[in-house]
Amino acid sequence: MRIFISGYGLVRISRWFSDSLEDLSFKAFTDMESRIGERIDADAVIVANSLGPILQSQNLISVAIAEDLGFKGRPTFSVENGGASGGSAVILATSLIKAGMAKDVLVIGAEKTSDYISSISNHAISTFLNSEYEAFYGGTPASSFAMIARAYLAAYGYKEEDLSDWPVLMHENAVDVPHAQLKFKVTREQVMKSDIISAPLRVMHSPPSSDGAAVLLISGEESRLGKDKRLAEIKSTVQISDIMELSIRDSLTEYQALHYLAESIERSTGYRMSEIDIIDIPDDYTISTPLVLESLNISAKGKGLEDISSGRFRLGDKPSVNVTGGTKARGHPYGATGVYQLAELSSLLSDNKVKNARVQADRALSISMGGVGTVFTGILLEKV
Amino acid sequence: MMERLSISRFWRIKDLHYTFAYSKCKKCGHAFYPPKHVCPKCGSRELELTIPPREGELLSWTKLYEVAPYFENEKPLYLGLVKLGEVKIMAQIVDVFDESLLKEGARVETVFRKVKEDGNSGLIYYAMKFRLTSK
Repeated sequence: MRIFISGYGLVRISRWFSDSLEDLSFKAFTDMESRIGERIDADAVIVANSLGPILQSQNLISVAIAEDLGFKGRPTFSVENGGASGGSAVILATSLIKAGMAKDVLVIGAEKTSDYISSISNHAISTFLNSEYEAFYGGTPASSFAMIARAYLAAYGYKEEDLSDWPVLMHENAVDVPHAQLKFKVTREQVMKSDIISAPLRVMHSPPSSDGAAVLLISGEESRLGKDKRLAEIKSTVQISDIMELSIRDSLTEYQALHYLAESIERSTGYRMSEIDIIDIPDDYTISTPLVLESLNISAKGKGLEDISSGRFRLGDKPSVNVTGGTKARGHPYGATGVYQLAELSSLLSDNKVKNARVQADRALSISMGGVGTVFTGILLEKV
Repeated sequence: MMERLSISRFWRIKDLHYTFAYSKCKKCGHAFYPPKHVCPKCGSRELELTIPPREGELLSWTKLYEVAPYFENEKPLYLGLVKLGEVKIMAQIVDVFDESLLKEGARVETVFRKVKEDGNSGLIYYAMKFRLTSK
């Protein structure tokens, strides 16, 4: 059975103090209707959200948002998998269609992290770690990524400044992306002079506090919409969990789950990673970038930062990586990020409206990550 | 949305935080912390709790400035991943008077300290932490 992305809608990522999760979701949904040019119905509604039960004190989020959007009496699902919630929600949507339970599924990614001061947000995201162990001692994703970064830099002989080229590239990539949160360029010097949040990682390696919502319409061959509405075909989906605690992992310098993810996509589609035109990866706190690229076998072991500094992965290279700015510059509304990634990639494969620069691509891969390399999704899209 | 300290939540994990007791798999020998019901290496459920030695070596560390509410008065926090005998454990590092001594391979020892407290009259959590050895 063939499954397609037949619509997307986006809200610009920002700090939307006057908008609730429902407000942002409605704006993203009506943006999708405007792009498609008609009112949209769906057989099921899936909401990807990670922090709402903590920061908005709201459970049953899928029901709350579905009701606000006018969907009553439908199956609704709330999906929480940290930063991989969006990818997980899309995989659930494809499963509902394959199971014959739906022809069209509305996937909404929505998150608000700006409702409270940063220490409260730090508590919320610390729940991505083991709460009775790592977070008990005050650990947050930043501190875990920082320990990974220190181990990686030492293992391969890099200096702290070698981390700086990635945020520079991400800000450059986001300049012409209308919905990106930080649309300005930065220099290596600015990165190196920014405050340390968890040594050796600095503010300019970390994602901004982001509010946002994005929606996708996932459709089977029996969709209500015409074939001409198809933006991209979902060719392969993978979801895989890994070990939560850094202390139980064999290695700090790789994401072992991604070896399996890459193999699974290659096995199911016949496409090798080197044949994919655009890849959008979780580049959390910069250090994730070399780990992801190396674990997917796109860079050789220990060469990820060197490849970035040599100019690889820019728009036009194969693969181009994070052409919309990544978590650093596009923004990172955790539960919604995976939906943004797939909305962007389906646009780059069709109408190209999410970026002013012309992008040529036939195949695009979205990788989403929850926690600190704790769970991943991989979704391969192909031009229709 | 702010975490509240809980007697029962802490009581059931206090032995781990007071001793760093870790799981050792009777089948494959894998040692890991925190303990689980099943060995992550071989899937065996035959595990035994083991107390690690008090001294070990630092594998990686960080100095965290962006903290959650309970740690605001103590920031920045030093956190380290330490090898204690055959097991790796992450916890706070305290009594850091000379940061240049924090490096891979540095010798550390366990020390019993306060982690957080619930206001002036609420619960206080204590647990093991690390500090550089004086040797």
